[in-house]
This record gives sequence, C-alpha cells and structure tokens, in this order.
Amino acid sequence: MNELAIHFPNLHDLLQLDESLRFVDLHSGTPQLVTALFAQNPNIYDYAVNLSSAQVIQTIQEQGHDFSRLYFGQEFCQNLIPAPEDIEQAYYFSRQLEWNFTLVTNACNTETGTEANRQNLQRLHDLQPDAEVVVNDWAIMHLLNHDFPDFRPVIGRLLNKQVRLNLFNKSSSKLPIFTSGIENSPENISKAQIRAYADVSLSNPDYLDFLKSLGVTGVDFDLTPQGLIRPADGWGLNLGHYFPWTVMALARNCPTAGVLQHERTFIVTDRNCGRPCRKFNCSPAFNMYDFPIQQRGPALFVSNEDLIETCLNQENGFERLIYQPLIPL
Amino acid sequence: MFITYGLDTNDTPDRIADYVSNGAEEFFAGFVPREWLEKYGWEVCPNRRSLGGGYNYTQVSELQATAAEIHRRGCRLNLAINAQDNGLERLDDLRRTVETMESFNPDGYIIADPALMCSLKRWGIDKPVHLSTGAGCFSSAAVRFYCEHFNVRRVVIPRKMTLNEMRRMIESLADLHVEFEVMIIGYRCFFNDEDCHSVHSGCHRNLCGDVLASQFIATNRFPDNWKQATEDILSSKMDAFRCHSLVNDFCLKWQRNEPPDPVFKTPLKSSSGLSSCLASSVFQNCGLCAIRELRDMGVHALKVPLRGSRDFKLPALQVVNAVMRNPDPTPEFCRALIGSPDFCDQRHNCYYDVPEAHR
Repeated sequence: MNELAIHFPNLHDLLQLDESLRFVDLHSGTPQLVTALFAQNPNIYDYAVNLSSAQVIQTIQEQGHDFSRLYFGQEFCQNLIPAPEDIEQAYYFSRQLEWNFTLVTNACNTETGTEANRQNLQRLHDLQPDAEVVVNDWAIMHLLNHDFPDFRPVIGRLLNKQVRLNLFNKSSSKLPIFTSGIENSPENISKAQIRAYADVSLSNPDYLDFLKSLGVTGVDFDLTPQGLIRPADGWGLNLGHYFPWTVMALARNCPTAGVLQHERTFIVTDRNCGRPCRKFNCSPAFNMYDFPIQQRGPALFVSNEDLIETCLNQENGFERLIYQPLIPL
Repeated sequence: MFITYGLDTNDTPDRIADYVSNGAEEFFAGFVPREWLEKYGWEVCPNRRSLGGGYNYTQVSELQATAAEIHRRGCRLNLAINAQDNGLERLDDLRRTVETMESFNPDGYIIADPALMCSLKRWGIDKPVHLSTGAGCFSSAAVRFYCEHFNVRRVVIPRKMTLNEMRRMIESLADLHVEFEVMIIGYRCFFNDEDCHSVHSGCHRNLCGDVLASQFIATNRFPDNWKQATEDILSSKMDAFRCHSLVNDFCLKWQRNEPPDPVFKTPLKSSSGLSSCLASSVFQNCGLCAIRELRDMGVHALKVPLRGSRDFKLPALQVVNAVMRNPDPTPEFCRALIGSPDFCDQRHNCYYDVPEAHR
C-alpha cells in the first residue's frame, strides 16, 4: 500500500474530520456500559465500528502512512448528491491539507441524477480539469468520455461486480452448495467456486483493454474474504480497497425513506424524498448474523474489519486504502 | 407491444403452442451445460438464475428441440448469459457454452457484463445484445455508453424506476434504434439486480430473504458529539447508571423524537375475493396497472420472468396478455383480473408506482 485516502459523502461529515478519526478506548469502560451504548441495535453498529477501525488507522499511521487523498461524494443515492458548491468547498478543504482530491460519483443515476453529476463535474473541471473521478455508473463514464476527457476515471466498487462472500467468512460458515443433480463433491465445488469468486471480469484482457481505452487509471474494490486473483502486473491499474465496510447490496427503494412513506421501502416513487436518513436510520435487525451488518439508507453493508490484517500483509496486494470513518451515506 | 416469456427445464416443446395461444410472442431461457455444473455447481452460474435445476436447461437436446419449436411457430428466442462477473479462468468454459448456444440459433443474448460483451466481439459473435437489468441502465447516458461500444438491440429497463423516469429516458433516446423491455410480474427482488453482490443458492435462504424475514428497527442517528459523550460516559464508570448521569442524559436526548416504528403493510380490509396471500403466491409483484402507460411511452416488450410449473406460470401470462390486448386497461379492469382487492390495496405488491390505481 502506498496511499491512504479518506472518504466522506458530504460536507457535513467532512467537517467532522478530526472527530471521526479520534480514537476512544472502549476497554476503559465497564462492559455493561459499552453494551448499553453500542449493542443490540443495528443502526449504531456504524459508530462502534468507527471506534475499532480508527484504532487500525492509527496503527497504520504509526507505521509511516498518512492521509494524502480525500474521496468526496455519494455512491448510493442520487437524492444525496452534493451540490456543486459543496464540491468546491471540499476541493479547497483537501488543498489546504495538501491532499489530492477524488470526486466520488454514485450508481443508479436517472436523467435527474446524471444531470446533477454533470453540474458537479463541470464545477470540478473548473477547479482541476485532470482530477480523479470514481465512476459507479456507466452513464458517468459516458459523460467523462464525451465532455470531460481530461478527468482520470477510476472504476468504482459498484461497477466491480465481484460476489462478496463476506457473509460466509467465519470458519463455521460453509458456502451454501446446492448439490441437486450434481455428482462432484461439495468440497471440490466449494474450492472451484471460491476461486471463481476471486477471479473477476477485470482479468479478461479484452475488457481490460476496453477500460484502458476509456482512460481508466484505477479500480476500487470492496474487501472480500476470497480476495482477488490479480496478475503480477496488477492489471496495470492502481487498486484501491475500502475499509471497514463492504457493500453487500444496493436498492433504489429505501427502508429509511419507507418509515415516512411506507411504500418506498419496496418501490420507487416520484414523490420528493425528505432525506430522513439525515436524521435517522432504519435497518433490519439481522439476528441470524453474529457480526456487524447494517442497512444504511438504501444500501446494505457488512463490516470487513476482520479482513484488514491479511490484506495489509499481502505484498503488493493493493496500492490505496480508502478509509470510511462512518458508512458513507 | 409484445410479451417475452421465461422458459425453464419443465417447458418441453409441446407447451410452446399453449404459451403462444396465451399471448407469448417471444421467449427467453438460460442454459447451463452439465460439464459446467460438475465444475462450478449451480451457484456460479452463467446467468442470474443460480437456484437449481428448475431454472435452466441443462441438456442440449431439450433446449434444441424447444428452440426449434419456437422458431417453427415464427417466434423468437433469446438466451440469458447475464452473470455480472465472469473471470478469466471461466472464459474458456463460457466460450464453449456460447458456442453450444449458437447451435440453437438464438435471436439475441441477454447480457449484463461489459467484459462478456467484449469477449463476444472477440469470438466473432455478432448476435444482438439485450442489456439485462444487471447492466443497470437507469439513464439515457448509460444506454448511449453501451450502444456506442456494443451491438445493442434492446434495453431491459431496471425494475427500480418510476414510470416518469422511464418516460424521460425513452424520450431522450428517440434518435437511437433500440427496443425497451420491462419486467411486469413476478418476484421483483428487494435489492437492485445490478447491485446485489451476495451468493444466491437453492439450498439457502438468500440475503433478500434474510432482509424480509427480519424485524426493521428505526432509530435516530447519534448526535455529532457522540464521541465526546462516549468518553465522558466511559470515565463516569458505574455512576453512569443513575437518573442524572451523562449516559442517561445522552440516551434520553438520542431517543427523543424517535422516528415512528416502521410499518410496511396496509391493514387488510376486504373480506371478498382471493385472499392477499394466495394472490401473492401466484403473482408475487404485479405491474398490470402500469401497462397502459408503458405502452404509451413506447415500451416494446413485457417480460414475464416466472419459472416453475405450467399451472403456476400460465395465470400470470394470461392476465398480462389480457391487459396488453385491452386498448384502455383501467386500474379497475386490472384489479378485476387479479381478483384480490387486498392484494391490490397493498402498494408494496405493486411492481411500479401507479398513483391513480390507489385513489
């Protein structure tokens, strides 16, 4: 790893930078108190994971790495795309810290979302025409190629469709293998599947050439227990990994919006979203899992903290770690 | 407008006539060769139907005969190879699979992964591409991206769009010669197709099942000073568990003005017609009331993606066909076809939001 980045989805969270990195030692409190504050409620796993992950980041910093890049922007919901003025403020914020700036754009853009992104790209272009832009929707790649060819696109984690095996990374949890009509042993199939899940489309040489012809300079992936089969030349692209949250799934229907407009939990409507996710969150309890898994707005996340040590110890495993102090939504 | 109808291994050639007479004009199916299954199992599937034998053809002879019957009747067949991630080591197996598929003379391929689209070009296969929902085309710019690089004939519009959003997208693409297809009935999935990254297996309750089986909890977010408060609280040790302690103040403030309990179901009102749970088990999610507007905006194909026994699949085909053939299918007409006022009153059963159907 040679670069440490930090990701904030909006200006409000960015302005909490120092606070979000501050480590608080929960072990200094009585266990009952810690339980009272942080357990039993999936909506606050986010905060508990912040405290433990901040300690990991502190350790990484002590080893000589420091933040040198700001990721700024929204990946999951077009209702939460920052305004162009916020992009500008965040850009200058990063410059003051002498950090590089990366604009993160979202998935699932309708015509409305695409237009909002076009305005943000235009504002960023005025500031730095060769800035880095994370692309999570091919619509945005289309805009970059046609209107902003000097930007440096990075394929975002939502355009990388690797199956996330993060629900099955405990030693006790075997991969589900449906054996009906199959003669091969589940053990053999399990091995072949894990290898297949680590072997991603990016390794297809024709696809890789295609991406490079689009000007792509990097790729971001979630951390998964199966990892990635990456060739010695690293695909010729910078690889970034997100920590400590892996995205399991995303919808445009949203349970948090659904608390106020019930149908929105399941279907998309034209009614304005009042952005209730700024105030509260609605997550399934997921009693079937014994590790942090949390729905935040329309996206579902699972903590990947238990994978970071292995990931950091891989030689030439990746180039950039993207730290998300809180779920970036 | 026409219906494109999902086939599975239960659909022998003799059933095609039945489906055609009930309105199907086009068919789609998946194919997983035996060698693939023995190597990768069902879960690593060349298409998005990884749940087991009922969902895909596995015998060349069966699909060959069905394809021949479809073409003999002047209908079309598209084959799905819409897995979203296809690594290098599977490419040879995929190539062999596609070459076998070519022998069925399909009219197009339903694809989600741009890497596979690149490979098809490399392999010299120039059959039209149908952009699967897994390709995630929510805007005209996304469609243009694919059309610029690949031989796209049709866009399957993602399920999680409003009718107005679809209309705007279709209007913005008037200069392109592409067809539009929408899913119209059956299981809609909780998450977006293109962004569901979990394993799907026939022997396991899948992630969306876990979501729907869970109790939803709504809670205020912590205030911005939560870390300072946490430190203060931790230093107060057991004094925290008192009425006027910092932790108590924090909890009271945090819990003040809590969001309402999430309640996602409308109370059932009607005592007549088919019960909601029976209607739900047949139709799952229903977009009949949206068909009139979909036709008006220029959608060409209605996808009926059900798999399973003929008795289970046929009612869905019949109701979609009845609405599609009606020049003015009002919500009342659609509701009468379903025959379950309770099912129709619960908006979460709707495939798309049609406000006029709930006035």
